[in-house]
Amino acid sequence: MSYQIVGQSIPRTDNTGKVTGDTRYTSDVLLPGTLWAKTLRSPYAHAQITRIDTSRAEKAPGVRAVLTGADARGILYGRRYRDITVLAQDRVRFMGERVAAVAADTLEEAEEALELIEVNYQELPAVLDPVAALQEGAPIIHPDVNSYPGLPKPLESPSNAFVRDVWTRGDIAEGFARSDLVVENTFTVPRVHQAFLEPHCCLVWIDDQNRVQMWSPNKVPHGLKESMSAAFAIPAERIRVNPVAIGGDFGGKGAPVDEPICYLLALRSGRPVKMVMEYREEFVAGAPRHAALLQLKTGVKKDGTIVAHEMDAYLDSGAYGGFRPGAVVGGIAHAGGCYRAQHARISVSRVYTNNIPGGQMRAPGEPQGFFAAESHMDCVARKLGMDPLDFRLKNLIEEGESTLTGGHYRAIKAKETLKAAAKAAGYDTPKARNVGRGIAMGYRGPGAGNTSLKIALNPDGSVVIQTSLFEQGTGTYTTLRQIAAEELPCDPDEIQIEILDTDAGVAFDSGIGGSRGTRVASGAAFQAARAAKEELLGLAEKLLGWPKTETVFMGRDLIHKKTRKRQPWDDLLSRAGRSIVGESVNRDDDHSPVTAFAAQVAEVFVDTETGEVKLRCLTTAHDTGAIMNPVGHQGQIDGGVVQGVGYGLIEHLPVQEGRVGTAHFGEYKIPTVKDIPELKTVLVKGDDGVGPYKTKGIGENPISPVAPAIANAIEDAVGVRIRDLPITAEKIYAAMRER
Amino acid sequence: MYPAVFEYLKPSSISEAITLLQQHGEDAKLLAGGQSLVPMMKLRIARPRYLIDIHRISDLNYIREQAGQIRCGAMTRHVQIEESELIRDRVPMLCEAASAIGDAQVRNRGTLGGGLVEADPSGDYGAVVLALNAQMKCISPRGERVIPAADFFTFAYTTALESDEILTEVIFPFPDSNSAGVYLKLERVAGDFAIAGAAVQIGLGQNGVCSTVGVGVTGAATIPQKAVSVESLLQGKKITPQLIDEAGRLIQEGAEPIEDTRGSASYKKKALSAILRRAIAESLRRAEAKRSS
Repeated sequence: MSYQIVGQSIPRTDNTGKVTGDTRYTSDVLLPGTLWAKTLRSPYAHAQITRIDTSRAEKAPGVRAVLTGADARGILYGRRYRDITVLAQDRVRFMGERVAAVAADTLEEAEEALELIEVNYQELPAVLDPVAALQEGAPIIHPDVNSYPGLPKPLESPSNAFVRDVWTRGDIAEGFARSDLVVENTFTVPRVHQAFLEPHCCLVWIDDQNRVQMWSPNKVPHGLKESMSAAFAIPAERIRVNPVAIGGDFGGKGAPVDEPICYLLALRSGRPVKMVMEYREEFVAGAPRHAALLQLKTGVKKDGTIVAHEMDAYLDSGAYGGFRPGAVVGGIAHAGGCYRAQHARISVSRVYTNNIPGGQMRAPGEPQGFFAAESHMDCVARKLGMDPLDFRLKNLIEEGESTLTGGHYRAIKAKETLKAAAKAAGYDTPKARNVGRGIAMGYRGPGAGNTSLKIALNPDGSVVIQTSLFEQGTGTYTTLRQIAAEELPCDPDEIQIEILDTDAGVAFDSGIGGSRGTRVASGAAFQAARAAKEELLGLAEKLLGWPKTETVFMGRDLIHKKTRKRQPWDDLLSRAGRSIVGESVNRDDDHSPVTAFAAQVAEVFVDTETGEVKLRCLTTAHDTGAIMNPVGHQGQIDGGVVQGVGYGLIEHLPVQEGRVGTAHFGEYKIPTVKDIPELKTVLVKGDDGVGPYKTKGIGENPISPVAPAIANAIEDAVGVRIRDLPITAEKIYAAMRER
Repeated sequence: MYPAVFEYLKPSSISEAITLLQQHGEDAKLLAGGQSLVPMMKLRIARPRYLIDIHRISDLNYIREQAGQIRCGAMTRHVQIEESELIRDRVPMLCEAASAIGDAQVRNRGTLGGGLVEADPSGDYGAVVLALNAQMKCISPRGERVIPAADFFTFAYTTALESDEILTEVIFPFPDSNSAGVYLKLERVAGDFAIAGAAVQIGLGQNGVCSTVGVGVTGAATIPQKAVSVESLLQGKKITPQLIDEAGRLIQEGAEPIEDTRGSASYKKKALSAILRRAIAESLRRAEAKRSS
């Protein structure tokens, strides 16, 4: 199938406003009488609040409302699993937990009032790592976990592991017994922050009709509305999430964060209340990617056949679990890998600790899991004396096989993708001293979801797409325009976008995330465009007497095939004196029948005197379906790879005794252009995919293999294995000296 | 967080600025490029009650050649140093240090004087001014004085400047024409403060022995260090790989780095040794290339 506009590199429609400053973000929205909110945060990782005195703060200039835990009793919030208290209930569970809140006329007054709140704490023993949290006698951080709404399975006995998922196949003990070689490794990965430019923020106003009006950079506005409705037992129809631009997401802008406390402050003060988190607060109390510890054990035959594969992953959830859409972190189970094994046991636990809560970030769970699994695969290959490429090719799943966590897919292209990466990277070519090449893989299918979309064709000639998605920065609106322009057809630049906010009476929209945007929204745009065309044909039949079967579209004209007569739409609509609207509610809820493999090769040079790694080249190969917008697709690949480089070599939120040690971007470093080497992309294009154009997702696939590819390249270069991210020069230096 | 409340003052002359400093003493801070001070104020690590913006004082931003010296106004931006042909030609290590600072936005605003006065133990300019024996021209109510680079840094984030004194100019004497230099830096990520950095200027005499030498290192202690022991080791000798190794050993023994997010003290010592050895070898290579051209 060939297309005119779909498949073209059309520039993003939201670029200009972002560059010129015209784009309106949450913090730009100001209502008359808006108050500023600030919250006081706990200085202890785990403590009992013995006294809280807000009397001085209440009398401070400009202060309109002061709240403590007593004002938020019995309220729990979260995306679906609800375990987060709006303000600490007598007990703080992490350093940075909100203890009290102030709304004042100015930000300065709110800040000053915070300093007048007196809190006494009695410290409690803290549990600061997930393994310790599972030990007998460890303090139970949430004794009431079984009462929390959305917990997938009640716990039989009190435990900090509030979610445990296990996948098994065969008999794992027998598998190890039958193996010629068993290799075990433990890997650790740190928390990393999404590093979006716009911190969490919101504006909440209870209007004169007693409706809750919210402005929030949330990419799942319907989810936010439902979360607020559930937390505060207010009917969902009383809540409206108004559209604003999202200033960077990277997976992190889907949960309620500041909205619940601002709602309570708005309720108390009777005024609109705004909060903009400082970046310091993002680092110490945002919702970063989970830290994790992963134990892997693999049994192989001498010929390299994997017989048994076992993984125990422990995600450090921190003090709360509700910042994720579900209680589980699904992605980490992917790290069972894309290899076959007759016997397997994959176990994932999400464990409460007294650390900063973990949240959602691009490909949640996957960079953690794939770092461990793909590093481990190299270790196994090396123990066997096999080239890691050959070892992978021997064990990768093929058509008809499923992953160890039960993923069934058609058109599996794991080997093809890996070979393409190896070839483009010159994997087999000679290398200089201290230069190494490493391979890693990943896979992920496009996510499922629902969205509503309308295409209105108006008598004045305008074409308007109405969408219930809030663009979070990946170019979704551009893709929607391309589809509408392709299908109608018309010029994409003429198409306007209108946002259907949560008041528009549309069905639940699952929002952006999970690499579902292109799949779900393109289906909706396609259906709506088709519906609009059908309506136009009906109109032509009615007004012009052209039977539908005899009428075709050419540009913005309808043509009657027999008479060769032309009629522009707009004339038809003018004659009819009305607009027509094509509508779609796309419920694309099924687990994707296809997945997309990614294979990467990192080439590094290691300075043996300092341990410094120079990433010289990173080659990434992706198994794709149709590509809607090549420049946008490549942007996702490059961005994902760069973020993966940060995860592999640079980024971490250092947490010691529960205290996050980075307070600003001067300390929390992310890669800049100078840190990024040549990036090569290979697209292994196929004609299988989902939706009307047969696409696959790309937003999350590129990030996961980067860190293990680098770790594997380092071992190839200088023979040391780093099992803990990020891979700093000092870790390599120390490992080289230990040999 | 926003900075705590402060009063913004904008003198139009050095004398006016000095009067303000005299009035407000320790309660005042000078605002140069603001690339470190403003973030510190936002974190409330710095809480000056008076912020004296010296941008309106004319003639603090220049790069001039004068009587065998390069004179840079204290408000010269990193980017101007990075792009100055005069500096590239005469003291390339200064260009190299400037271009290793932060990112383009930081280099557009940050200043030479600000970077020096901040006196971060891992800052880039400290090593360079020590290696080149630069001089700091300062003005106070007591008049003008020149502080040699070696006496300028007194402790972490502390200099020899009095509370009412302003650094106005940095003077770099032309290095010997038979010499060459380099600034090398090991960093976690491009533009970060150094894990270790070394500035080395080496001059070669007729017979190929080291006739002049200047060595400054950063990340080695609470202040940038002039590596006097290394200078005397190299001075007057033919620089051999063995001698370079010896220099590396000397610096490693003498270093007392601060342990921080950039690394442990023991690693920083070893990294410094490696960077210094490399910087000596590179400046030697450059000096030899100069001699044979």
